[in-house]
Amino acid sequence: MRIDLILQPDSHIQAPKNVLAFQQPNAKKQRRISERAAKLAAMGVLPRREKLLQLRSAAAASGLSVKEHPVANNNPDRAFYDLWSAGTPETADPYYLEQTKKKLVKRPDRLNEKPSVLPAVEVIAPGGSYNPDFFSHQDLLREAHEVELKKQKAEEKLARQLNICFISLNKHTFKEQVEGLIEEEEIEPQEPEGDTEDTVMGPTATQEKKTEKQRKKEKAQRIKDLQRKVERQVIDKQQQLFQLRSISASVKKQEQRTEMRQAQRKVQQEAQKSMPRRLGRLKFQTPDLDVQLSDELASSLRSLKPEGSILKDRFKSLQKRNIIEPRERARFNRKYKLKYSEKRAFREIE
Amino acid sequence: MGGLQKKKYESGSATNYISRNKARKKLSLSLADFRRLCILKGIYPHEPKHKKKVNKGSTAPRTFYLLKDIRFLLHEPIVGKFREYKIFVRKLRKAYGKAEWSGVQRMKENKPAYKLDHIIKERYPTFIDAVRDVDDALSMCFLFSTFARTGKCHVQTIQLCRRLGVEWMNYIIASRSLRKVFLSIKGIYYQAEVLGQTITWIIPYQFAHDHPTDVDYRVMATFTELYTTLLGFVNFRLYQTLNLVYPPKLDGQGEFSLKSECEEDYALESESYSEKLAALSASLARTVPSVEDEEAELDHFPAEGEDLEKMETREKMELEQNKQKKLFEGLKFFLNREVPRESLAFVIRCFGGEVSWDKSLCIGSTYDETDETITHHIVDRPTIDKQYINRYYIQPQWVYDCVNGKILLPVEEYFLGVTLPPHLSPFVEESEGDYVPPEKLKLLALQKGEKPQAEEDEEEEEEEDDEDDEEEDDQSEDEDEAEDEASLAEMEEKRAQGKSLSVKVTPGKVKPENRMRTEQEEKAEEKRLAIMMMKKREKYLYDKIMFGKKRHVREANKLAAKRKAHDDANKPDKKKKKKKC
Repeated sequence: MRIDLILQPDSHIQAPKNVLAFQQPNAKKQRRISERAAKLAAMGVLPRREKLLQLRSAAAASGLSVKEHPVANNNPDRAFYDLWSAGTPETADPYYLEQTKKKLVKRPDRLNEKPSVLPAVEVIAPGGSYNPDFFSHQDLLREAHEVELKKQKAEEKLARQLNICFISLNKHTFKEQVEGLIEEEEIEPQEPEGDTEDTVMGPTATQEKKTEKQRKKEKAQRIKDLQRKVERQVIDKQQQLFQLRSISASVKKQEQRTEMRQAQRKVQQEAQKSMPRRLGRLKFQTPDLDVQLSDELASSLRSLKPEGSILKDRFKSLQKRNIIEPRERARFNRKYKLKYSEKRAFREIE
Repeated sequence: MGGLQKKKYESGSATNYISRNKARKKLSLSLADFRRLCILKGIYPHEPKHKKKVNKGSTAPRTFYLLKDIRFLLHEPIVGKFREYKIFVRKLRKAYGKAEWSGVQRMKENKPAYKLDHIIKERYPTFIDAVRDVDDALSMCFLFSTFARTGKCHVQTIQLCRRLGVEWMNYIIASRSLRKVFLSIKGIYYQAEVLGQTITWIIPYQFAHDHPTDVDYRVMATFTELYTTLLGFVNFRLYQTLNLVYPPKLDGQGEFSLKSECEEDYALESESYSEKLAALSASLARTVPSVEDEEAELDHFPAEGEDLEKMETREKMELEQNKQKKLFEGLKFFLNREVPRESLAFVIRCFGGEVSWDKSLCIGSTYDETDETITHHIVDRPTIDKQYINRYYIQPQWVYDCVNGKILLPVEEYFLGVTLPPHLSPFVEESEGDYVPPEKLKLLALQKGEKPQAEEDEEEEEEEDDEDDEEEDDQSEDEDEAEDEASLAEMEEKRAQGKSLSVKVTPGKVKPENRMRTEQEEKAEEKRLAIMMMKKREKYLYDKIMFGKKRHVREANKLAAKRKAHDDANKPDKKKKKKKC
């Protein structure tokens, strides 16, 4: 526009340049940096930014991601390889590997032993077949029946024990209430009988100090007792010779008893090995027997209704084999009781 | 007091154990993480012998771990991964709270994960150790694969379990190592022999289950994590031993025939291949193409320390096993809709048979119902409409009983509508003198090749004929007996009357001497003599011992008599039922 033409400078003398504006305080440094970058680029070494950029563009072109994401453990398409192949033996220094934690710590042999002798999968008794043989089914039913009997007995015992308390109370409450109300023939106190009988057990007065006589008497008595005992012992020892037969019989009996007890203890120890150990707060509760009653038995595989849950069975089996401790569902206990209050608006209604 | 006295609970068993909470604090992990770590590494709690000592005087029930085990856990690299995961969760929650969605996305992509390979290698240093422990893993994997994919436990875990289960079943089919099957009310028990180890596992039925609430799912999920990894590596190695391709691929021919069907009807494209594998109807591809050689007769060399006898028994056992592996070879089966398809397909293919099912039921059916060469048709209904002539219609228990009995049982007892014989457990081994159910006796007899006893023949005949015939039979028997008695009575009368009996003297016949029998008789004679010559006291003891030994036999006889009475009581009922049908 014309106004722009007018405003342009018409002198041929250029404006003075501000040298300070062109000065860069670290021009030498910058020059050195750019020279070095040029030298490195000539050799083929790229700065970090360029490298990453190239990586990103290559990854974008081929479709892979830049970072290597770890494959999740439960990915259904995960790959497996031969874990037990010999592989390449470690060539580095063992001390170096240990210190840099590249080599794993050796596992103690104690941990390779199984905590229980029971097998991992226990097959159910033959009476648990879907179409069982008569007698094996009856055996299984009998076992379940015995378990139920035991439970019932325990309950009855408890009820009986509680009942006794109440019964005794009942008896006595009536008598207590009635005491003093019924007018019976007055029981007159009997007169003390004559003093013909020598049944005086008067109060023994605190005696004075023992006299010398009494002391001597007591000492003589003591010595006599001791002597008698010693004599008796000597006679006993002599008589034992004649009692040899009975003595040997009693000794044999004792030995037998100890042997029996030892055997029983050994048997108990062996049984303990297959029992679940007490590993925590809760005791192990044996799972209920899976059994179908005679009228529940299926006539064909199609109409079979499965009994029991394998999940529970596996859980209990793990507890039985001492691999985990018995657990129950966690309860939610409130520290403070909940307070319920009506909203003021609701209170005003009615 | 001086400081040289020994204080209580400072040495000995009190310092060897550590309580669970203290251990957790030492590792600085949360309780769930600590439990997970213990399960993964195989660290179990111990019950100390003297609880009071270890618990420093109190008898409160606490869980104790060995201190050395916990110190060993400190060196585990995945402890660091647990801590990282905890931090990740915290950051993620913060990002969610601040609604930084890009941050959330970024973090989800970089979720920390850990691998369990080194733990498996450490716990099972050799392959055979891993194979020994694989039955627990199998039961858990099969159990998880039956769970519903609702999202309560990771769906990926369920898919992985299913894949590993199918791979295992395919391996068993290819190696023909299944030995025993047992259908119980809980599930199906299988037993196979892999690399010399007997492995037993249980598979639940494919019906819907209601899940129990008192099972800790997190613990079971951790076990499954460990076991899936173990099973994967075991599968890889097992496939290698058989020169099969891993991950498994269907054989060339099988793949082609299966592709020809319309695949979209059955599954998504991504899942159709795994579903075809799961159908178990085609064989697997091999890395080294195997040529079917004629089985050359191997020279038999006795192993170290074996006599000729043992070697012969071993050879016999091997021959029997080889025979058992080809039990269903040449037979063609067809499964109806209502039978458990997967279990039957697995068992049938394990013994060399061919199996198929209806096209609309599942992917992978190789031939149709109308195929003429089908030999057995497995049905579980009381009746079936169309019946082809040259095939047997049987109930599924026949297959399982054949497998357990190691021979092809007669098909008549398993026809439709017939009351099946009981399904006996192959895991029970009866010792001498125990009660053996009559069905098992029959089976043993069949195995030996003998015909069932004449009694049972008569029984069958009686059942088939009408009651009139039965009465006639009874009458004829009675008549025979009456005849014998009559002849004896005659002879007695004659003797009483003093007449000479009309007995003739005929030339004698030479009876062939049975040497074995005479030897046995001699031995029996000697034994009897020895018993007669014992002193009174010794005889008393001997009688007691024999009484105890024969107790078993007596009980068995009692049970057999009971069973007979039960059968006789039920015979008229059975007949009535039959007449009604």
